[in-house]
Amino acid sequence: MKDALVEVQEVGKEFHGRWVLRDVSFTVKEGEILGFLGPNGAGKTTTMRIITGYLPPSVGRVKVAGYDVTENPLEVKKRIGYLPESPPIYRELTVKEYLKFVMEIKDVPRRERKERLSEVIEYCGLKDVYGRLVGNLSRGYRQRVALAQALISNPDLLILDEPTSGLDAVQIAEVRSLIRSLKGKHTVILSTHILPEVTATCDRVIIISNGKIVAEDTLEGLEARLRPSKKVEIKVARYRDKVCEEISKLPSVISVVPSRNDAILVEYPQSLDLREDIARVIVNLGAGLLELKPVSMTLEEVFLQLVTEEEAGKA
Amino acid sequence: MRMILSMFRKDLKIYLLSPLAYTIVGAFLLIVGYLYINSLAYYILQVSRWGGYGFNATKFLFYPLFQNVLFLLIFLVPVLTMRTFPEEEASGTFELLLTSPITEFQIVMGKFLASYFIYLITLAILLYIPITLRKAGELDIGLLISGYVGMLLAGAAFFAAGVFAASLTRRQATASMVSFALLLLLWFINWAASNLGTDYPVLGGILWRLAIFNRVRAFSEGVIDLRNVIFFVSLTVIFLYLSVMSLASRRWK
Repeated sequence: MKDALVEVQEVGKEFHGRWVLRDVSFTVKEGEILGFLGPNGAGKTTTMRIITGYLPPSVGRVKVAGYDVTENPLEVKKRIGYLPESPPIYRELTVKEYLKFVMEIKDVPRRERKERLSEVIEYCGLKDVYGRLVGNLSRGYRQRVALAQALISNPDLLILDEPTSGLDAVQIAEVRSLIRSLKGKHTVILSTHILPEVTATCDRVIIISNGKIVAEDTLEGLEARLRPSKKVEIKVARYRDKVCEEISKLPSVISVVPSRNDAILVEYPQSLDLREDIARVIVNLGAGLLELKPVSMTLEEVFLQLVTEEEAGKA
Repeated sequence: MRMILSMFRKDLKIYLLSPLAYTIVGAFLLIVGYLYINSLAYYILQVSRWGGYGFNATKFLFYPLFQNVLFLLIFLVPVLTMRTFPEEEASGTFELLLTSPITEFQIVMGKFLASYFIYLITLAILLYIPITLRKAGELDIGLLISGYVGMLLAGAAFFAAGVFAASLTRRQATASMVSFALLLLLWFINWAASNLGTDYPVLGGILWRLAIFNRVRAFSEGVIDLRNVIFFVSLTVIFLYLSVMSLASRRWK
């Protein structure tokens, strides 16, 4: 693990006798964008706060760039930019004053400040609101200011807690493309409870539920692991029930389910391709094949499956 | 030091941009001014009746002024310090501060100095009283210096107490109540000291030494006693230290 920027080792956190995090371990490589996925209350924010040094872990160790967060918090804090869930802003200051203050407490060298400031202003699209009070900005702009705050010290590690929460669709798309553009320049850990966000931005995903890591993989790996079967969606012009019946008679078909919009979902093992056989059945019946397309399992389903599986296992 | 200065500048800027500081300092100056006009009128009455001989005019006018300022600080301090930490909490900026390479000590010092600076501005404005009186006649400069030293030192301790109270809670209202109670208690320790002193001389002695009333009075009467200087400096240091501890302990809850 030579190039691991973040090492989280068996971290646990207890609040008033309740363990909100248990045995969380993972590493983040330099330049990677890691998605932290889980429902609300799963422990994402707590994990992130522990990495930033805002909260001390009850057990376990966290190292950032080789420095232990508990033993050497200042060295770690110099290397991270953190966007908390609610944007940390001083309403009374202008965007410029605010970012200057952040640079000061982030210990950005004086001669680099001007350059950093104009870079981040440009990058986060804050040119138009540069001189305005942060308190008077819209939600979307405030989020950008908060993002600028995290970026301004040019940190090795960026920790973004729900970076798109509370934004409208256009703003979300903007923030996501901004995050994607960080790839390679910074190592990013971002948390979200929205799946498309992960697919849109991350290299690797950690799924967390009830304070425990339930899966960790690349996007493709995660989908593949949870998809021992393939699905195709069929649309026919007529005889839908008859078609269902005939297809289910085919060897090795796992299930046939009539789905929304008059379609039929057919599931069969990953290793086979039954599309030809299915088509033949329909043509023989004269049912009028309108559509036959493979359905790729979205991560949303993966996620639902993971979390529900975990809960079912416990009960 | 740089970090303290950054924190100080940021907090001072916010003080100067928000109406709160102007309102409370304005009210404070108004009340102090009103009380001063009263004692000035009383002084003029006395002089016209008995003549100005045989008593120290500076003391007559400034002793109540110094005491009033110091007593009224129990209203000024809670309002000026209540926002220090609770405001950071409310705006989510605590997370920013505590994930930046700035220490709790630097945060506390910056905030303390910013609120204290507002007090220094207030004291500077109050200089209009000796300056205008200077035109009317000779003043006892020694007494004025002593009184101002007292207001500076006791004020520092009071503001440190206010900062400490604010570090204990996440709500502005609670913070102001706690610092109000704390300052009131500091003022009234001497009652307990004199009441308990007869039956429990040891306890009475300890309370007597903790009581700020007599120490403050000494300054206002023109006596700069090194023990009193050390007392208020220590009190300031202790409250600031407790604030740092309180901030650090927050994270472990």
